[in-house]
Order: sequence, then C-alpha cells, then structure tokens
Amino acid sequence: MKITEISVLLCDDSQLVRKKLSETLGRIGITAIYQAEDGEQAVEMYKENKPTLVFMDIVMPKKTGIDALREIKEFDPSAKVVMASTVGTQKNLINAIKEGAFEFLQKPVKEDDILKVINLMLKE
Amino acid sequence: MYTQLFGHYLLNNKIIDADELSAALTAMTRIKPKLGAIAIDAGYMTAAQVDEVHEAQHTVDKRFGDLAVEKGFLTEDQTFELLARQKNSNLVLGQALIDFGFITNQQFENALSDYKRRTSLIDGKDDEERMEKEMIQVLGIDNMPDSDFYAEYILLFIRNLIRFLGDDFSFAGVSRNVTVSMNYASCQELTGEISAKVALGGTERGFIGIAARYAGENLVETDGYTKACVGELLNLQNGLFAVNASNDKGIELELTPQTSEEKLMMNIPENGIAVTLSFSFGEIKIAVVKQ
Repeated sequence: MKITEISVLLCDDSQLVRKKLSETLGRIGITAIYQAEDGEQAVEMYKENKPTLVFMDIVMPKKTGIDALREIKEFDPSAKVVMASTVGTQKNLINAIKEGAFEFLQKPVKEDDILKVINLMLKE
Repeated sequence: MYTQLFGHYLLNNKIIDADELSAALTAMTRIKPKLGAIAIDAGYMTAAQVDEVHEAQHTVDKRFGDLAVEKGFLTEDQTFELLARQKNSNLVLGQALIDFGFITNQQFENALSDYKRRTSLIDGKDDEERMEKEMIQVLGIDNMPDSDFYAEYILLFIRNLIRFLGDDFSFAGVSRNVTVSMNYASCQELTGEISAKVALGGTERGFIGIAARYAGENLVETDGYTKACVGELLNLQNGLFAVNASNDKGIELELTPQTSEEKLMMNIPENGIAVTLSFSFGEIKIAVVKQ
C-alpha cells in the first residue's frame, strides 16, 4: 500500500486538533480524511467508510473514545485505531491497549508520531 | 516568572502604575529573546532542534533547558551560560520602562536592588523554585485550604501560559468568596481522586487573544474555532496536571469534555481561587474550585 492510498478517520471534539492533524496528514500525502466530532459519529463514520487508520481522542462528548474503540473493534476486529489523549498516563495506555488499540499517543500528536504509526502499519 | 514578580513589586510599591506596566509588557513582546533564540544565536542549537524541544513541551511539563540537555542538544554548562544571557534579557522590562520614560535609570537600579534584598531573588535556573514560592505568596495561595493542590495547579497554569502564550502579562487580581464573570470561557472538570471545576476565559479580546496565540493564527472573532483553541489549551493544562498527578503521586484523574460558555458567572467559594491576568492583548481569568 502506498501512503497516498491510506484513508484516515480523525475523531476529536476539538476543531483545532482536527485542523492541525488534517494539515499534518496533508503534508505527508494523505488526502482521504474523514472527521468525526464525538464518539457516536466516529463509530458511524467508521462503519460507513472503513478507513485504513483511525486517530481517536479519549475524552469526547456522547461516547468516549474507549467506548467507540470497543464498538469499532467489535464491528471490525482488524481495525487500526490509534488512541490519542492529553492524559498520557500508564492507566490510559493500558486501557487502550486492552481494548485493542493499535497504538497510544500523547496529544498534541506530532508529525513524527504519525509517520511512525504509518510505517508500523505498513510493515504489518 | 521573574518578570511577573518584579512587575508586581513595582506596582505594589507605586513605582509605576498599571498602565505603565502594561505598555512596558507590550513592548517586551517585541524585544525579549527566548532561550531557544539565544541558543541559536550562540550556535549551540539548530532551529530544528529548538522546534523539537518546543514541540516536546506540549507533552511534558519541563523547562526548555532541561529538555534540550535530555535530548543531547545542550550540555549543562551551555544551559547555564544561556540562562545567564537570558537573565540579562529579563532586565528588558526595566529597560522598556526606562525607554518609555516611566522610571529613571536610578529608580530602576534602586528598585531592583531593593527587590533582590527583600526576596533574595535573582533570575536564573537556581531560583526557579524560590520564584515559585514567591509566586504562591504573592497570590495568597499559601494561606488557603488545599494550598498544595492550588499551588501545583496554578503554577503549572502559569508555566503553560508563559510557554504557549508568552510572558507579557501581569497579575491584575486574585479573588475568593465572590462570583466571577467571564464574557467567554472554556470549562472542564477534573474527576477521580481529586474533583475540581476549572474555567479559562475573560473579556472578548482576552479570549480571542488566548486562542490566536495558542493556535499561532490571526483570529478576530469568537467563533467555534476560537472556542476550540481555548478549550484545547485548557485540555492540555489539565492533561499535564493529570499526568503529573499520576506519575508523582499515583493519583489517577479523568477529564470531562470541555464546554464553551458565554457570560459565565462562576461562584468562587473561600476554598477556590480566580486569578486575573492582564496580557498585552486583553484580560484573562483562570478560575479553579476544588470540590
């Protein structure tokens, strides 16, 4: 798979975070980007679009990122969901990995982090 | 932090008034070099390395010099040298006051030596801890209930404001046992072993100013994007507070999603605090109430 063939679903209630992440993804050649602003939308948009990769905030209205992750993994066990949170604690990391997260990143997510995740995914 | 403490001393001792301090702080934003800029100027770090350290400060609560040493960009000795150079740059507040004609060189020299004698503070790395203690006293946090929580929370907030918005601000007031109002605010709650309600906001100008500086963009109105920017700064502050609590004390905290409020009236009891800061772009408030 080429980097330009990757599609990404960004799930974050912050418009600023979605904008900055979209800009970063655009710079590395990813243009197929979907955006969800809460956990419920995230699950719906995943089912509708089946993106290659998901970046998911944890603290979101309506449904938390962890609950959305659980539902997405039930629907598609092969889903690649990267959890991102400002609360980068051991507890959150363990919770995310237990629920099947592909990776856990502390926000704000940097370009290097995204590239590492994509390389990791392409190697699988 | 030295700038805020020395500015507070100058105001308290009626050496200058609030308008004069505000004008000098505004001028400082144009002339004060940051440690990264001084490191580049000294040839110790590349611009990319400086950017990398600034990026890292979004996720860890550490000083620029400490991170640069950890990453192998600077030696301890180089950091001390740069801090010494920056120490001189902190005198820019005094220089700006003199340049505006608000004080004379002699008044500045006298004030500085009196301030150092009273507080034993001179700027620099070794004084960071003492500056923070002085800050806690200036804000009256040392005498309030739950002073450890409020001291840690407010000091982290002040460090984050200096990192992400700039240090061109002075303390315009500390309130307790009152209802504080904010025209625009972002609110969030910490839950878990510690529960607290927090709001960051202020006047319309202040609110837009926070967002514009945090996003590094030219923003002019209080639309959804501006609100998201302020909300994300508050989220970053609370995320770092939760990470520190988990790493240092084994206390696990969770955050609620941020909400945006207009014409917020927040009741600040005796065991809560609201700090008003006057930035060159406008007035902002931080309100914290531990449950």
